[in-house]
Amino acid sequence: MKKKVFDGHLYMEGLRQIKTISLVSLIITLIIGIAVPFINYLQTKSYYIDLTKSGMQSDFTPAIINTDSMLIYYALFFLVFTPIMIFSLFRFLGKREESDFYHAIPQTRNCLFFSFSAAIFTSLAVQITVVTGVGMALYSIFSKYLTYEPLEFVCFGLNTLVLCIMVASVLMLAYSISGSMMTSVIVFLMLFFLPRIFIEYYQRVLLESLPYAMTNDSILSIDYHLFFAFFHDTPILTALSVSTVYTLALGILFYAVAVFAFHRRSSETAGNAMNSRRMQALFRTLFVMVISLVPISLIYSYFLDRNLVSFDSNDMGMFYFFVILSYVIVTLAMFLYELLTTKNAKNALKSLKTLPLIAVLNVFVLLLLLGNFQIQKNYRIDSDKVTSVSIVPVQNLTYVTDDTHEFEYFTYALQNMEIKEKDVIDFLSETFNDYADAYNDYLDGKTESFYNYDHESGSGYSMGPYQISFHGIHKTFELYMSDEEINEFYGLLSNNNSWKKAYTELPDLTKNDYIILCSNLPISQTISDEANIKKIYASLQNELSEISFSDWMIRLNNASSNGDLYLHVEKKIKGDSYIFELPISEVTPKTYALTHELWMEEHENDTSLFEKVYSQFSEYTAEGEENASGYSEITLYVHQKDSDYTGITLSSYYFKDMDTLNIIRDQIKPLSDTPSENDVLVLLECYSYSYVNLSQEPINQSLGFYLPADTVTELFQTADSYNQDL
Amino acid sequence: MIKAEHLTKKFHNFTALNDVTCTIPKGSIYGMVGSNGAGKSTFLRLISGVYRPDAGSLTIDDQPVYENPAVKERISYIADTLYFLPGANMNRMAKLYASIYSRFDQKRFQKLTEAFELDPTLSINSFSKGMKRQAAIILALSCRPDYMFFDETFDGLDPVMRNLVKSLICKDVLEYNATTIITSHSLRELEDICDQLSLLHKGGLVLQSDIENLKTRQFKVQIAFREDYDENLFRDIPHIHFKKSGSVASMIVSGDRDVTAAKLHSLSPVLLDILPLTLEEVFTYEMETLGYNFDKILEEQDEDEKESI
Repeated sequence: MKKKVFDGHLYMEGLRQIKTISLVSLIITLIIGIAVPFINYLQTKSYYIDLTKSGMQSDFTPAIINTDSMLIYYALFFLVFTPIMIFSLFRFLGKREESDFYHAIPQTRNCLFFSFSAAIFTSLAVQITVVTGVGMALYSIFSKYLTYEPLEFVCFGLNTLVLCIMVASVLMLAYSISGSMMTSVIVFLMLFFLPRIFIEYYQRVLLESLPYAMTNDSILSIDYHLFFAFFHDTPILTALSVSTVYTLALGILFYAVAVFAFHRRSSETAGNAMNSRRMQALFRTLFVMVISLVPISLIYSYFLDRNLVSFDSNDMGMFYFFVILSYVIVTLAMFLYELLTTKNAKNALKSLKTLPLIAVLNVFVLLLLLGNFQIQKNYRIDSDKVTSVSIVPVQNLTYVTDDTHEFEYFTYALQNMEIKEKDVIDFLSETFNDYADAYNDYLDGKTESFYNYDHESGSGYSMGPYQISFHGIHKTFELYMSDEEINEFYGLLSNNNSWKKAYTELPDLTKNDYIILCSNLPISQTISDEANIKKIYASLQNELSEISFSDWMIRLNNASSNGDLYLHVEKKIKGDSYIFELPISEVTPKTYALTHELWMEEHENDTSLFEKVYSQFSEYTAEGEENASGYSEITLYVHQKDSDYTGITLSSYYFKDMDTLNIIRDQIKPLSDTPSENDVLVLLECYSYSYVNLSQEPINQSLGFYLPADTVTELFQTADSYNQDL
Repeated sequence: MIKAEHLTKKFHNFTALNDVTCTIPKGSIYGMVGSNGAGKSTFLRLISGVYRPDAGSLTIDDQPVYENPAVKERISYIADTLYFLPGANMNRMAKLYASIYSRFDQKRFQKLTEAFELDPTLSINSFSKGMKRQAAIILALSCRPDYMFFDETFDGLDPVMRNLVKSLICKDVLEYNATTIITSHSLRELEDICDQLSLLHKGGLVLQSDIENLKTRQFKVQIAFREDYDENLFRDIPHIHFKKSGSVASMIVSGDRDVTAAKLHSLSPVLLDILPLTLEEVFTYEMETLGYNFDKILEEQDEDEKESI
């Protein structure tokens, strides 16, 4: 059994044969892998030294290192070193005498394949482990200046290995069915990219011709493929996700086919283009079919557009010209492919005999696309067959940021929520059917446009797009809705408890979750004590069940843009971050009050600091920056009951109103004093910086005080009159 | 024992080996001659498990060879074009062979390397063509194979080395009862080592015979009489070739030498010489009886060689 499946000696021999390449690749990646943390360390340390020199070392936080800086040299593993190792160890497949030697040895072909491929995988795994381990060790050593997430690094390394396995498997398959390095590279590119090109082409054609079609929810989505993620969606690489499983599964599939192909391969294939003429013809046809997609698209578009109101039949001359030109290029491509792979002009000429087959395939693909389009276009939903629906705004489905793997929390909550109410299902089914009818009318030339929203009449589609999944019939569409439709929809949902719960039942936080209180006010500090922020969150959790759902939704939709205060939460679920922002406003009065209470508590300190700012404010000249010895600014924020914060800003340059400042100075009371009924909370945002005494630290502090309400009113009146004068 | 039955191998439209049936007994040294493209190398690749037969069967000790490591473990095959790892020396190649062949004998490898006076630490790339062949032979013999297949291996070896290799092969055959197949263009090359010979032509096995039998069952007779005579005079003597030049006739006679001599003496010739045949002559005449022209086959071979040059 030993030599029929796997042979340890052969495996060791494989390792010996790729020893040099493995060492070179390890040295190259290690040099970069060590240099990058060192550079990060030196840069951050230099920044730290600068801060220390200016006495601001307390402001220093270690730099967060993500895996972006590792992309380039980790890409070397699957883009460069894996192919080199494959070509080195399986080189014998391209040369007759070497092929004969390895086919004569007393091992089965499977044993040879498994042993050699295992050697390559081992080498890659060791290299990636060493480079990742060294990188992590260095970042740990430099932890005073640099911080990183070990799990992300491990996942990144594992995903890179999966990618290497995928690339290696495709390359081994390509080499197993071809007989030279050149052909195997071409076959590799075709095996690797052709399925994706065909899938993307189909999806693109469908999306462009049917605007409500959805393709990105399918397992065929490009988002699931780690190779493409490596170049456009790096957050996927920092977690073990569906993409990892999908890419690994693809790798295993290719590996299994490669085993079969290697087992069936004849030694005499070495030196020839492919292992059989049929295979050569197959790949040539596939290659030519890719080029043929261009004229197919042109003809397909013609069939779709010919009834449109905007269709211009005068352009038909250009249409014919481009179609003919495309097919001339297709013919040339076919000739060149055969010439390049077989290096035989006779074969290249002979291959042109299969042009009729290409023509038939072109017609077949065109009919397939048109037929599929007709089926999709005429599809209407029978609401009785729908068991439930899910709906999410499409704009929230994309990642929140590019450098980490983050999702919008409520979208996640909604995606997992199925609405089973019949009236909602009926409504959305009907909405879809109307939408499809409208599009059919547009295609048939009955209407001039499809998307445009008519503001005067209020008709057309203004809201969305929404991704709507119809469960039971396994269909997902992307629809826009009119104002009326969306209002009706929310009206139906207002009685839906599941829907409400998604927005009002906030998840409990764990120690891994991140929460901060943010403000749109130009202030330096809000609440820094995390325990206090969590108290606010807990208050909001309780209060949401008591308040108006619609009021909450209006505020929630604009939490970070319109609200003065909001909680920014990053909830960790299975290694991914789910972000949501919760407004703190008068809509949730208890939480609002608590927030101010805690805020002021934290900022009640020090009348003496105010005094210091006051003295500098009065000292600095108001004659302009060039003559000033420093700059001070004091903003007084007062919370208005029915709105948010309003403020008055006094500046040592521009609005040096000492009378107003003196009123504030005389009448403020520390928060530790017992307030009278007439007192209101005010927040003084103080900033002061000396141009002369540079060793003096700038003051940048938010301070909380009580001030009599009458005084506040008076101050705002003064400010209003001043603004009017201006 | 190697047994091929109706063995056929095709490459696309070209039939390299067509319906070949032969049996090679254990412990024999089997020579195979034929022109370029006759199918010799294909036969050896089939018997080494490199190729899978398209039709027929091929067994060694009643076991199929293809994808059968147990059988292939006992085979050493030296192809006409040699393979060594890039930049490797003989020690590195020995390591490769040792990881592949469990019977690889390191001591024998060292002994043979010394006998051939090759430096095992030098890169094989720096070796001459003949030295590379020697290296391949050393590696193959170090595997202690039961079956050794040499594809035109003696080409490029100088006579001394050729004799050394031949003696090593004979030694293995005698000591371990190893079976050897040697292919060559040259009959003279095989004459002194093989005990069985076969001729392949255009993928078919034209002739196969024991070498001693070939050499002894036919002989050349030169005879002359005072009176005029023709071929009918020898109708009782089995012969395959008759040529008369003046009063002297020459013919190739099959059968017992003494019986034939007695019969010829009874005819009272003025001249009678009975001469042995070279192996090439035996082949020439045997082929004639089978309807082939051996000279023509060799001419084809020469033309092929010229073309390749």
